[in-house]
Amino acid sequence: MGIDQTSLPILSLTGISKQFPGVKALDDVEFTLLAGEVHALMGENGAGKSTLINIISGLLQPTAGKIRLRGQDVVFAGAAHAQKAGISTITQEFNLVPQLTVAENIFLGRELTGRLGLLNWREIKRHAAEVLNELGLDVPLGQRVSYLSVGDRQLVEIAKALSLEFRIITMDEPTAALNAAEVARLFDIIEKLKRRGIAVLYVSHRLREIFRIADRVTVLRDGKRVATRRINELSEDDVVALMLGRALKKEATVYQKVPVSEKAALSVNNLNVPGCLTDISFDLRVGEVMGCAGLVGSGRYELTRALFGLQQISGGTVKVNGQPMLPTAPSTAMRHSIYMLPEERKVEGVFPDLTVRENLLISAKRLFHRLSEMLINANEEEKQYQEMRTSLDIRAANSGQRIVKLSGGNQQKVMLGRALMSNSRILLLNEPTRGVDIGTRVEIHATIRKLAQNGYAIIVSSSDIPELVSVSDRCLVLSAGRTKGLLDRAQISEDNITALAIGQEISGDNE
Amino acid sequence: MNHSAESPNFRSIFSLSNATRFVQIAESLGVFALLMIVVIGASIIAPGFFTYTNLTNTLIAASITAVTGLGMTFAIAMGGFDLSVGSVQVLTAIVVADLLSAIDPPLAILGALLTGLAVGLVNGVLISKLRLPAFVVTFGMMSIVRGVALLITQGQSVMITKHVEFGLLNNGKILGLPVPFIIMTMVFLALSVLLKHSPFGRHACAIGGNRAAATVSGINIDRTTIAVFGLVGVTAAISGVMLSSQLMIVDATLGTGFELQAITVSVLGGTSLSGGHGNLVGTVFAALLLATIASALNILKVISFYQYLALGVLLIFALAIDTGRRAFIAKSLAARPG
Repeated sequence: MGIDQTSLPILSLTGISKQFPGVKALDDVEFTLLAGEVHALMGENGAGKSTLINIISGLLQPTAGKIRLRGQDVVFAGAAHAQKAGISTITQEFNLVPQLTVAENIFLGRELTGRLGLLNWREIKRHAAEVLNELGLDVPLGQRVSYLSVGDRQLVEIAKALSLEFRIITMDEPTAALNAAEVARLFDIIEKLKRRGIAVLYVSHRLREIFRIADRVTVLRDGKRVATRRINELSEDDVVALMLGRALKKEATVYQKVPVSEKAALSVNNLNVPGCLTDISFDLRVGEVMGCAGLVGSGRYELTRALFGLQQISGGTVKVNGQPMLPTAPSTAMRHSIYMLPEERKVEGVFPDLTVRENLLISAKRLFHRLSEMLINANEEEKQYQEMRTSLDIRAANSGQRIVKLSGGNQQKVMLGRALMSNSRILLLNEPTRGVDIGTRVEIHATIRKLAQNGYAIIVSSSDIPELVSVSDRCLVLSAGRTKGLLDRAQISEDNITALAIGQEISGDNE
Repeated sequence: MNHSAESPNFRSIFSLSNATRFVQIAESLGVFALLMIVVIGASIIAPGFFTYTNLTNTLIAASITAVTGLGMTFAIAMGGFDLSVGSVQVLTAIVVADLLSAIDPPLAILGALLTGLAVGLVNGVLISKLRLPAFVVTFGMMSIVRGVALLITQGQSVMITKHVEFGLLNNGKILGLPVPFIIMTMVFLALSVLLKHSPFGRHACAIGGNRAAATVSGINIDRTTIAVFGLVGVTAAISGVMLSSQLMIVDATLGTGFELQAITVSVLGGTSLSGGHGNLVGTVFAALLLATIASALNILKVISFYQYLALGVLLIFALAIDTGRRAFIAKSLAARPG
């Protein structure tokens, strides 16, 4: 279903500029959102997407320009104001109270009360059930939000927006943490929203999604709008070219893989983690990138956590270079040259109060002054930082800048750099390119391949199946805590990985 | 200031795009400006404030609070705090006074410092190994240590009669500066280096800023926690020794409310209760501010009870500023282009 010609712009921005000290984040941007359309906003990290969304959601005020909502000029004084005007923003950080139930969250702040001013549970439940039914969701109403998966939480947030009769929903990287099934469900719901005339502003780095659900696309580059087009007028390459300002050098999507040595860097035998993993066995060889696929709940993340000593192991053996080891804590794993990149950069990765350099070197072998074993050698650290900055192309003003000032892609590079600085030869990389732009993604993949060539042994655990196809020598697929398959080079394909991950068998053409 | 240690590039410090760094500077300057205003105000309305004797006394009082405040800053940066410091101060003041009747001052002081260290380490072990909240452990320890101090003295005062040269720790001057001030400066320098230039300080801030990330980064959280509380215990003990040498007669009722002072100077100085970073310069300025206010109120013959009111008001004021600052930083971060 497309947009018909009579659709009126529900929101229109004209001549929007936003000046930050030293940088013009947005420069004279035009943007319109029609009722019932999905409008994708594309651009590299730093192109101005977040700034534009923040302006629309009232978090920021533009330096110049006009915002018209249903034909009326508006100036949003803050996020609450924009919400009142019917604009809901769904980001990675949910505005849900984890301790409350689904129903309570949906009606938080405008509880339905009975005669004595007490909560009217029956009405709350009935209304909540109505909203959820409308969306076709089967989330248990009485469930505490903290027990829900990321995908379900997102849907609760959408349900909340619907119950508030919001007309505009902005979604910032909504699929970053979702598995394939959840993405499909989200897209179904977005279709329903469209049919109800709700305008969806959709931001994602995943091109394929944009082509699946968007009606129109606006591309930003360096704070300027470079194009707004109907999606069917463009090809994927066109969009990339618009974003980068040049055609992307066609990378061989699947990297040329070099023969790996037969030496196992990490051998896992019948590994068991209570409630998560059953009898997992594999050998990770020196110079190899092994992909690890699986839906949320498949035990994919728990596998890397267990190997890094963050999850208790109840049985099985782990050997590093033939030496048995029991990963009881990250420090133990690190002594055995294992390092893990966490799945959620914000939750388990970034130290918001520390500088870029401190963040990069937090797990590094300490560089001490000659004089004292207690003190850090700042010069030596700076040298290390500069080296890593150059090799990973980290864009930061200086090493003393706080990391939260960097864009998501650059923060992710710092996280990757941290893993490299840990002096470990076995890297467990979770979602290495989550939330980064296409250019950075290609760079990170190239880095991973280069590391393998240099004799690192790497596990890439990812929900991004094209990524696994691109970088893996072999791919382990988990389903419900068990090994569903270990695909070799010839067998790796998106179809095969997806089929195994959802528990199907693949046609045994190779075996 | 301590910020030059953090970044040698002055242009980057003052570049406006670096909003949070700017806020950090403004924070120290803010307390400093407040201090100047209060000092000038006190000099005008309280005759006798701006005299050598009074200024020296004020400086001594500030130094005693600052030493523990500096240790407290580490605990707060790590996302915790220590309510037992007042009791530790009095216990160590009594320990040193008692020991002076038997042994030489250096050994007696060492005994007091080890006592403080021991209490701090016990705090740290209980918090990290039993996974108890710092609030509960140190609150309990506050009562336990006070009880021990009462038991040791049997409720009596302890007077220092032997080794009266111990008083030099309070009255002495080095290069014209009171010894307590010298002690505080040394503690300040040592802890500044520890906070910014040692893995220990960095780990403490990392734990306060993002505990989950600290775990994943392989930081030994238990060991850092124990060390930080050990450090706080030692600084409280130094304050105890300083108090003992100031009074030369101590009893177990001293040091009540001292924990509140230590936390207040730390927070007022710009160390956020939410953890993640510490501002040691600010702590020193805030201690001076607190002592100045107390001294002015004394001179103006305001009943000392009012000083409790002032302290409470200041703590709430500091927390309000802290909340406002966090909102500002959150906003400037949301403003990050991209």
